Amino acid sequence: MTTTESNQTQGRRSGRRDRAAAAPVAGSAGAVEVTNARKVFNGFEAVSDISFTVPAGSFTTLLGASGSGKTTMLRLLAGLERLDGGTIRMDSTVVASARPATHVAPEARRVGFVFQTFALWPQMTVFDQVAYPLKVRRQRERLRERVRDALALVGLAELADRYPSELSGGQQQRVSIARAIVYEPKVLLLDEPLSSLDAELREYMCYELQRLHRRLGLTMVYVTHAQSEALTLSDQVIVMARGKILETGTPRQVYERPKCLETAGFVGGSSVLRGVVAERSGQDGVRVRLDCGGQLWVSPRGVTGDAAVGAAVALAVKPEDLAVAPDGADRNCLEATVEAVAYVGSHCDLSLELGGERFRARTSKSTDANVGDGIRVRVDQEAIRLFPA
Amino acid sequence: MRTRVGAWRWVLALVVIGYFLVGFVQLLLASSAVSLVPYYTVTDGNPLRTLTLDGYRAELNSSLWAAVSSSLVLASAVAVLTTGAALLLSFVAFKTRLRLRRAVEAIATVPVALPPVVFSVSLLITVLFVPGLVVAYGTDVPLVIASVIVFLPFAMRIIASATIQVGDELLEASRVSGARWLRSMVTVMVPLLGVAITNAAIFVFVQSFRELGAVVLLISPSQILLPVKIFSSWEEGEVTSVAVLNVLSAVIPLAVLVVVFSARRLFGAARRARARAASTVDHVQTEVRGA
Repeated sequence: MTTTESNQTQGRRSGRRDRAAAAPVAGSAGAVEVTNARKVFNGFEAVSDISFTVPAGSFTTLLGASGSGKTTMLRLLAGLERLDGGTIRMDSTVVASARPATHVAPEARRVGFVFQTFALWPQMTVFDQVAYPLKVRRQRERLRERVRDALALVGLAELADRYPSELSGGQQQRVSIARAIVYEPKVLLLDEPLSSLDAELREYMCYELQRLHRRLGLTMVYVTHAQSEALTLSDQVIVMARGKILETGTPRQVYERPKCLETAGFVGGSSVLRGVVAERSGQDGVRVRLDCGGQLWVSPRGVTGDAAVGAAVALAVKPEDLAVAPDGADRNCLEATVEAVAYVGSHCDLSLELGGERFRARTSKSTDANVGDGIRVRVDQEAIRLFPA
Repeated sequence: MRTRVGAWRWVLALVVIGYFLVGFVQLLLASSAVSLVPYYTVTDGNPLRTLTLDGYRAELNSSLWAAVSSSLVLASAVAVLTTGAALLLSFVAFKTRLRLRRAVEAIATVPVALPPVVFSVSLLITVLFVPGLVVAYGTDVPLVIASVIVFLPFAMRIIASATIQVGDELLEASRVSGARWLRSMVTVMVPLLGVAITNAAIFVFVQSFRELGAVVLLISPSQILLPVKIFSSWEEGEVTSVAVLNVLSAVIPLAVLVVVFSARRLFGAARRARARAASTVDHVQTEVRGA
């Protein structure tokens, strides 16, 4: 898209904003605040005592494995589930609360929701799907224009007369996004919107979502189990497990400086090596004797907890922080056996074994290793994270 | 893949044809044959010589049309009300979280276990003995109520199984789009259940057109319905008359079936053609753009 084009579209959109200014919607609308949220399904606590805030206009990701409670949390925000404890506020207004019991129905919350399965209505054309939210909200003024704008925004203006069954997966997902944004909700909630698309399309849609977020400036809450999506898209990543929040931070924080071993394992795909602190030095950091043999230095920045000499610790090592050791190198090197080699093109993924421990290394594409070979790898001292075991 | 049945196809064909002959052709032939003779007898030498349309003429002159039209009206009303109720109850039972939802399903199933005449009797007692309700006696209201109760479980089975197949997220998408539950049900569910809804309506219509048990005790002498007329003609020993009415009460629902199914086919074909046209246009556009 050229600059002129984008400027024109920007102008049109801001014009609409001006007309809508009579409605009590501030420019910075869309802040979400969750306090002690709890949701129980038949005795199973899907969401237990979660609190977080989503700044207005931000892109926040709830990242977690399946069963971590992230989708339930999103459905609580939309009003599709009722809270069993805690409070949810949108723009300082309570939309859901367990005590006193308050539950603003989903249709009254002014949120857009994009479903994992797209949830398009098979009997309606693309145009009708996108017009539906405007019709039920009795916003018939400039309806055709607004539907067209929304479809143009997702690049589907020409397919307005199609039925969902005549669209590809990516097109269907874009229809469902257009339907969710057409009435200009304050908050857009997305439940794993890319997981049913193939890899190439996923990457493209990731970029499209970023573009949409910049263009519309609305608050987005995005649920995914794919760390790459979370890191690429978010201003804020909330890592969840077992219905709780493990940690919250920027993508760089949760990836490079995770606060716990579980985040390190999930977000960075880190391998875990266990050992005992052998030595502490102010400058060099901590020397750890590994249970599987060998030893590693951890820089002071990477240490969480006191790591007293003799304490049992766990080291999180990301695959890309291991490399084949150059000749003559000694410090932070490990002698391992190659268990599996996956040549990916841009790099090599090695699965290594050392004294019964398995860990992964992402080495350069020129790595010439065969299964069963002995290999000397060096671990980047600055990148290792140390946690109390 | 379709299964190949090999030599079994002869056996299967026999079963299908046999069922058709016994269940359908036999019924129509027997009734038609009897309806065309002046009186029923077993030992007639050549029945063809006595064939006559007198039976039909006699019936047409009597109160037949009143019976047919009130049966049609009653069956239509029962079909619409039963299908509507089944739709609403299926929605409550499978697409809401009301506490009552399990009870709804149970209550809608119970009438299967009871003979229709039971409802007839209980409704009759209620109408006659509860003060004020007696005005309903002799009207169509108790007949409709009894029939709806009797047929609800069947309509419910048909519609509920289709309701379950509609993904929850289709309704949820409607809710977050800003629609309340009733509108979501009407605009999202009902079109998707089109086939199940017409099936249920046809089933109830055809059944209630000839159902006797639910209505036989509630009917007053001033009301005439086809099944009741058949029953009373039989009581009076007018076999030809019974046969004539029998043929009519088979042919009329059949005609309705044919009309509804043809309409549905045409509607479906039109929709498919429209969809095909849309995709062809796009195909051409793509080619033009490519060139």
